[in-house]
Amino acid sequence: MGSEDITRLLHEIRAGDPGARDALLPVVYAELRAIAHRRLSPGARDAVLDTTALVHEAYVRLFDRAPLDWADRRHFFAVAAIAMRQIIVDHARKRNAARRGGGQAHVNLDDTQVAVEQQAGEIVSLHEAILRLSQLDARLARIVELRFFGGFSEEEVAEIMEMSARTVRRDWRKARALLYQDLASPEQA
Amino acid sequence: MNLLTHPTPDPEHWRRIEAVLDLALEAEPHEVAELLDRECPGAPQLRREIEALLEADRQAGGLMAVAAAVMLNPFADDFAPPPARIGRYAVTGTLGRGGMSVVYEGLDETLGRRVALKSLPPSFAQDPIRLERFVCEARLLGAIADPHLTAFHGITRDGTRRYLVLERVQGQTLAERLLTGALGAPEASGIAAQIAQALATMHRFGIVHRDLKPANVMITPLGLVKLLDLGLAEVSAVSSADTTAWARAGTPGYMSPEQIAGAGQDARSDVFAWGVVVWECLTGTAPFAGATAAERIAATLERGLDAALLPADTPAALRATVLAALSRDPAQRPADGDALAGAATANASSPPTLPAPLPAHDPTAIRFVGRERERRELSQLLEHTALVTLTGPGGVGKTRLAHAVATERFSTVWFAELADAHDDPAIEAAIARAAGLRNMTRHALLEALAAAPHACLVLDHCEHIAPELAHLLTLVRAFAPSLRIVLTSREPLGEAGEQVLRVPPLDCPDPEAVTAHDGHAAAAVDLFLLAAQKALPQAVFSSDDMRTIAVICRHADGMPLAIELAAARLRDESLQSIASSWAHGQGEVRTDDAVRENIRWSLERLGAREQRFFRALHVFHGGWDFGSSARTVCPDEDPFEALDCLTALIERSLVTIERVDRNEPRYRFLEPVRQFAAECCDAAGETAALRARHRDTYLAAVETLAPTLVHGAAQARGLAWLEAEQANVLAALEYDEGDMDSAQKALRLAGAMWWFWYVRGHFTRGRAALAAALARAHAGAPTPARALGLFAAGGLAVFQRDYRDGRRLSTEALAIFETLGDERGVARAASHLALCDGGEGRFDDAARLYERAVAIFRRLGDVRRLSATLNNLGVLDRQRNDFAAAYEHHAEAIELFRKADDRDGMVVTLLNLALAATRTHRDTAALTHLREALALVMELRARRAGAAALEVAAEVLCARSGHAAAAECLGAAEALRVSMRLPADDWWRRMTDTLAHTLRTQLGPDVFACHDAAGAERGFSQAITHALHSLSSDVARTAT
Repeated sequence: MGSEDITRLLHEIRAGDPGARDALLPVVYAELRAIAHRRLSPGARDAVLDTTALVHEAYVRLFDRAPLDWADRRHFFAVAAIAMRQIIVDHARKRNAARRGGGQAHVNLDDTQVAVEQQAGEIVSLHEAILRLSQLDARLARIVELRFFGGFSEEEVAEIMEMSARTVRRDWRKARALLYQDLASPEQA
Repeated sequence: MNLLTHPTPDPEHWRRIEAVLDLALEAEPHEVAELLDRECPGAPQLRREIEALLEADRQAGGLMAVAAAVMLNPFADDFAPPPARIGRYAVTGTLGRGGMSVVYEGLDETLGRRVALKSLPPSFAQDPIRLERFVCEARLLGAIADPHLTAFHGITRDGTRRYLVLERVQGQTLAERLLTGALGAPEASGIAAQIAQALATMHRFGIVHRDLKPANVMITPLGLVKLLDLGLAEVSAVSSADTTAWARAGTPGYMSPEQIAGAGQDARSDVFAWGVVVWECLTGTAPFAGATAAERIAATLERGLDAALLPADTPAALRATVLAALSRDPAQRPADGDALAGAATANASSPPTLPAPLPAHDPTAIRFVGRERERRELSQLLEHTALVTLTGPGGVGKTRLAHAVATERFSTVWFAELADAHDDPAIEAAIARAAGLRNMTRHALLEALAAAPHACLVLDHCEHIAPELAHLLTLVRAFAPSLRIVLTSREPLGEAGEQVLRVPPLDCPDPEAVTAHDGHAAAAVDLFLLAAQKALPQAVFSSDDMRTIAVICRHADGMPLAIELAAARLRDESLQSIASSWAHGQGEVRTDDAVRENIRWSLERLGAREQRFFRALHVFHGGWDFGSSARTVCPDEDPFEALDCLTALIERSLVTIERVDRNEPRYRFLEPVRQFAAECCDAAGETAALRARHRDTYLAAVETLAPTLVHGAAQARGLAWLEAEQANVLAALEYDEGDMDSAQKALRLAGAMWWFWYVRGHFTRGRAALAAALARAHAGAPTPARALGLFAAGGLAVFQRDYRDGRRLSTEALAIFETLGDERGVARAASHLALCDGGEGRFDDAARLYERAVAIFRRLGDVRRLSATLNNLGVLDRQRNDFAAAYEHHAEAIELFRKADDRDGMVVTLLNLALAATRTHRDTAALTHLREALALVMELRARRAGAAALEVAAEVLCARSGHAAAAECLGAAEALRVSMRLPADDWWRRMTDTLAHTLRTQLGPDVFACHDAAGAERGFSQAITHALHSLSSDVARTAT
């Protein structure tokens, strides 16, 4: 799909067409995965990657010739956050499964293997908690998604969701509190 | 309570809650209860749910920070294979991977030493602030060098990725050790004590670890504890969620409550973490355990601790310390590592391993003077390490220390001198001789070494046979694993399991600050005094003598042997003659050749880059800080290069660490080394360029610093830095390329320095420097630099009451300022001229000049100078004995000074106010103003104002019948004035004379003389402190 098609889809999203987002998601998802894959391949130098950089790089790669106006860009980033979340959770799930396969003892020099393995578990737990949150209040879940998986700041979230920064801040606190209660409670469903 | 699963998410219910919650989140905390009363009448369940959410809001910050850190690199475990080489290290394996960094094992092929190479996150390279902070911590770590911390060897790089080069510690982490369950109380106590010591060292230098946990604690096979990961590279990029960029996420379960809440972390957060770790050691389980990070955080904030869980045989002191450390309120915990070490090891269950300090009259005491700390550390190290290397420059006392501690601790000590051994058989022969064995095969020798039960082998001067020695040492250690080996060398050998203890030169005091009473504040002086007692048993030393001794110690660079030899000369010579012969370079201990040979040998093993860096450093006088060296020697390269070179030189004992001031280490050369470096630099033809850059570096630094010196909190800091850098500044001033440009630069530098000279009372030095600079720049058009220089020189002259020079210089300055159209300059020069007139009794002329200046300053809105001039007007009033007018002028001035936060201005005005107050019967006001002034004098170390302050204090004390204290203040003031060559003006002198007369009458001439002399003996700081003390208590009220 060329960038004109993508731009058209973004216009449609803007116009309120619900199907357009579903059509766009796989494209963005594929793009992000490709970038992540390339960055992490055996020949690559940098084995460290953060989500914001990924999303921005995807944007540049897709729209380098014809940059989006700010309204469309907003929608693009919103979709990218969703895609990012899918990628990360998939990745974490794979790791979780692999870990249960066999224990390895490493000589550690710092907070390494333990944290890394726990990390995958944390990501999955967080994802599931956000799922439950979205059943309670979809808007709050969206904000969490943008902040965590898109790596956007409160101001950027406000811009993407067309809300005031103050409301975003309050919503973020509510979402955080709900997630905290969920993650901190001993019984896991 | 969990709204997300209760039993299923209920949007309806949530809407109801949300409505009130929105209001509550926007309200102030104290308004919430009332709000809930209003909004949820008769609905207690709803209210509970909202309160629970508000509580969660408070606590969620910590969790989200951790989650965000996780999100930042969710692909952490995918990796690229390690490179084959990094810098000069061959990569031999991977030791571990973290969220943002990876650690490889490397081999230094030059030294044959194994290291750990820890990568830095690439984001560091882009963020200059993070980079600077990181470089700062790296050099601190290099400077601290404690055996309980992993040694830091430098920074290297592979392409654009940088790596820290750290000690590769063999052993297991405490986390691994705890997998098999709790440790016994004795083992736990030992580990607790060692971790506490590591923290004590870090906290002493102002570093907070921030992530102490069992995975970061390494235990060697012999039980030596080392802290890993000192917060150097893990300043995480937690930017997205809730915390600011610098907050380290920490590890749930070990984070203190305040860390979770996102409040500041300080030493007490480390103390909390220590408590958690020790609890875990004693009980086998973490106190705040939980399956997820969130659970652990909740446990930390909420769960109470059951002290009964600690084992019964836990020593009482340790138990109490652990419980205190785990207090939720930081104020209830031991304050830092030192407090922990002290408290926890009292009544330790294992027998004390520390030797008691020797009584002073013990003849062997001289071996340990100034070395108590090293003695303790070496003794403790030998408990847990088989191989210790003492490093440091030649003559610093390594041999003596090794010998002394070994004979103290071990029943059998073999001492082998290896300086003349050049090959394997020679080493063997030396060891055999030391053990009293002859004609033995190697095998038999090894067996003999293994047979002795509690033995120590000391090998002296090992640096030049390191490779040959390595092989033999391996054999020895294999045969005799319980044998303890101590090496002395100018640099580490690079052996596996080698623990390095740096032996620095002795502390030398500042000659200007030392008095007869506080000689014991500095080790070097202690040593001199002890050695002097042997030469001249009846000797008694005055304050002046102590200052001379301090100077001798400085010249000796704190080297013990040199100091002792100097003291021994007292049999035949006077102190004065010893000091002056030192000044002329006749005090060298070793022949120059031996020292040079050693230096040359160490240098040859370094690369060209380090050698160039070494040579260039000779250009610094009195030491340097890192920034100055980087900017002078390699201005176009990034700071890592400089740091790497410096670390290499420190490791080889070519550069010494002088001290650490406010997180900034100061480095220096020993004088013979500096001379050698100077010669090398000359030979390479690099000297001229370097001296020019040195001059430029300091010119830029001082000019940047100058505006901050006159007001604001940075005043004290800036003044302190300049004090430390005086020698460098003077060297920069002397540098003459023979052209106008360099003359102008020198003039600018001298001009920028004048305020410092003024406040700190270095009048004579300042005037000489300015005169020289002005003479050099004599020809050429009048420039702003020239005007400033003349003005500065004039000002200093005026304050020394040299009105002739003051007038001449200030007049010329005024003329140039007028030519340049610099109104402010005109007003300033006019003020100085007014001071001359006032000093010579021409009050009307003075008043006119002041009014001219005041008008200009008001027009320009220059508040600070306006206030200074108003203050001077007040002084004029005083000289005319119009105290009421004086009080008014001073009062207006002090308000303006306060607004501008000009501390030096405040001091002077407060003193004037105090004086005017006593003369206008405002006694309480006088006391208040005076006390504030004295406190500021201490803060700024303003000796110039200090003399006046002491005299005003004497006046006030006299009025309150504190005659003895008043006499002491006068004595101290007089001594200060003499040392600064800073006489008072006529009016002031009359005042102090009258005061002295009154006191003499009240106390009687003998008692007065006695107190006067006592005051004169005190140094600046002591005199001020004493004055404050006398004023604060009502002791002053009772007649003495």
